[in-house]
Amino acid sequence: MPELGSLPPETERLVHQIGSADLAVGIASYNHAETVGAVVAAAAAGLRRFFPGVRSAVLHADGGSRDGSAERVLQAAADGLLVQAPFPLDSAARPPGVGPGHPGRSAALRVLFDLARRLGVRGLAVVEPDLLGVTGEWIGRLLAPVFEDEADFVTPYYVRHRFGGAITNSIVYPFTRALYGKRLRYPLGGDFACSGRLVERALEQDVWHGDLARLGLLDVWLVTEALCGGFRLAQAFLGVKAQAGADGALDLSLVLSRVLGALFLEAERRVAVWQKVRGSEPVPLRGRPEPSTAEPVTVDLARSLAAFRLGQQNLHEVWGLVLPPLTLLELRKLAARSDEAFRFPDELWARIVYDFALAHRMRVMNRDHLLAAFVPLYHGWLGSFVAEMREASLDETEQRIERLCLRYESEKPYLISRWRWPDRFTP
Amino acid sequence: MWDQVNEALRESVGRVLTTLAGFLPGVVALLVSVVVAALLGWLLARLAERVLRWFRFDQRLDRLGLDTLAEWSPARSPARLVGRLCFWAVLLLGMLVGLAALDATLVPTMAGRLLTYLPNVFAAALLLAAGVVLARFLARGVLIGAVNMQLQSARLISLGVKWMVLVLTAAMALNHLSIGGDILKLAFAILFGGIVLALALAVGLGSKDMVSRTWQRQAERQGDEAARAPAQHL
Repeated sequence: MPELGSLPPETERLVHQIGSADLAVGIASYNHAETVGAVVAAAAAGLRRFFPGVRSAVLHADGGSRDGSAERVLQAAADGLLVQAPFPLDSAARPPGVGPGHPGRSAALRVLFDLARRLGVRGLAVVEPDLLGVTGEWIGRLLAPVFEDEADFVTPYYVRHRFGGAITNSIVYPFTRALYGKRLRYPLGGDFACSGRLVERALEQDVWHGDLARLGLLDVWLVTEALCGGFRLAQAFLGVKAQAGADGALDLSLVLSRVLGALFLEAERRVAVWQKVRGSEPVPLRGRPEPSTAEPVTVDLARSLAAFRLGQQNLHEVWGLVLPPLTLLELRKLAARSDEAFRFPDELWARIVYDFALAHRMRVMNRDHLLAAFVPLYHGWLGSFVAEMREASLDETEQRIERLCLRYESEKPYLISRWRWPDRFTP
Repeated sequence: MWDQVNEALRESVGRVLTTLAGFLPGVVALLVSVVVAALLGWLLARLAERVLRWFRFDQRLDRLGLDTLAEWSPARSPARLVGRLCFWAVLLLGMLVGLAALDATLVPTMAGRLLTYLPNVFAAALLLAAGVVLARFLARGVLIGAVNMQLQSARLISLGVKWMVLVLTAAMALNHLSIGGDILKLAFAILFGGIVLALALAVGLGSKDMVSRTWQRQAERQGDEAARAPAQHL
């Protein structure tokens, strides 16, 4: 990862030419020629339309694309607005990419943050390079809370299909909300905006070489830093998110392991903060959620439940190192139910996630094994959710997720108690 | 003539009885020594365990990142492992004392041989310990991985991996101890070669269609999952 201050001469010249900017949009790419041009054009249009007269810039970091991504960006951006910089991306790392959970994510964010600091921006929005149908409104909504309301961190609020974003719905959102007490609906959306203050804070910290950087999930650090570091938060309604998915595909097990690992690592670091938090409070939302139709997501219910049952049959010894006996008994009973009657109780689910967080902290086994052993349980939750919400509307789905979040909050004393006295088993 | 026979018998019985009389105290001393050593060892083991627990030895090792030690410790407790080692060390000492009582020249001779052999024993023990840790680690990793790939025979595969590593380790350890010689190598080569050949035949002749279908299903499933994640799950 390049040290700060080591930009190529051409990038230095562009930064010098622009001098300073109040707002910027950062986009990182790696072989995203098909989509990145449109995203950059939308970013430039959004800056012009929603912040006329404000000095702004589009920052583009490229990980050595071989498909002409950099040229597409150059064509799409207006003159005098664009700063391009390379960042090192290990193309041998599997799978290559710049989205959350990909190896290039941290290096890309670091370059974008460095450029933003050099330009002295007040607000930086970061959007993914493979967005489809993105408009300037996204940029307006992401940056307005920073520019007008002095928010420090703005997370996206998407419209998704009821079965979409299941990791977010089942773990990321409820866990983050219960621990840190703020209702950020999509904490790891991939698109976000942050203030110059938060950019500065991030660059000062030694997080760019750590575990989160290796997991490609520096986003988790940003979110928890914003939640715990006294920063002002906001959400921006962005509507339906559609992606071309040009990044190298991550398999479900890898995504889940990385996300859980990153969440648990941060929970370990921020224990002094979250142990004092009770309940949760809403975070202001910019833009009114409108009913729209997201791309349908299909989940094979039978396959999900089969994966859970296979895990239950084979992994009970591994789970036994993590979960209390009563939980194991509940799981055994659950596995015996029919597909239609299969319902994962919220209380059980919340406790399982908390138990895994604790096991991660206690290193009861190799952490990769621990996180991978969670995958069948996630399949079980997903299957249960699909069986329950098959005919539900989006509103009903949101209400269901709200109930799950409340259960996470009500079970938080269980986590705190086991965290403080891990040897005392409280089934 | 009979007088001579009687004399010879009396002398021989006397010699045997004298030998026995000279030998028995040694045997009794050996038994007493072993029993006392076992008692002392047990006491020392309990004491060592208690002291180590008082020092929170297990937790300290865990914090130092030596948690793998717990993996092959009895009841997952390195403190108990140290206790057991103390017990066996004292018992060994007691046996040596007992053997010295049995025959004064036996122990130095044995000690000399043992000392030259000891490095091999240590190396073999180290190999075995490493093998057990590795076997358990790999078996668990394979089991979880196979379950996540939704392979029905996950446990069988994991068990296979575990025993392959254990057998390999045991063969290496025995080889290090110079036990078995060429027979061991031959047996090991035949066993492993046989397994590989059997698998090759089974896959190549008996179940090539099934294997190809399984791989195809697996590839489709992975492609399906990959396309869905992370865009849809996250």
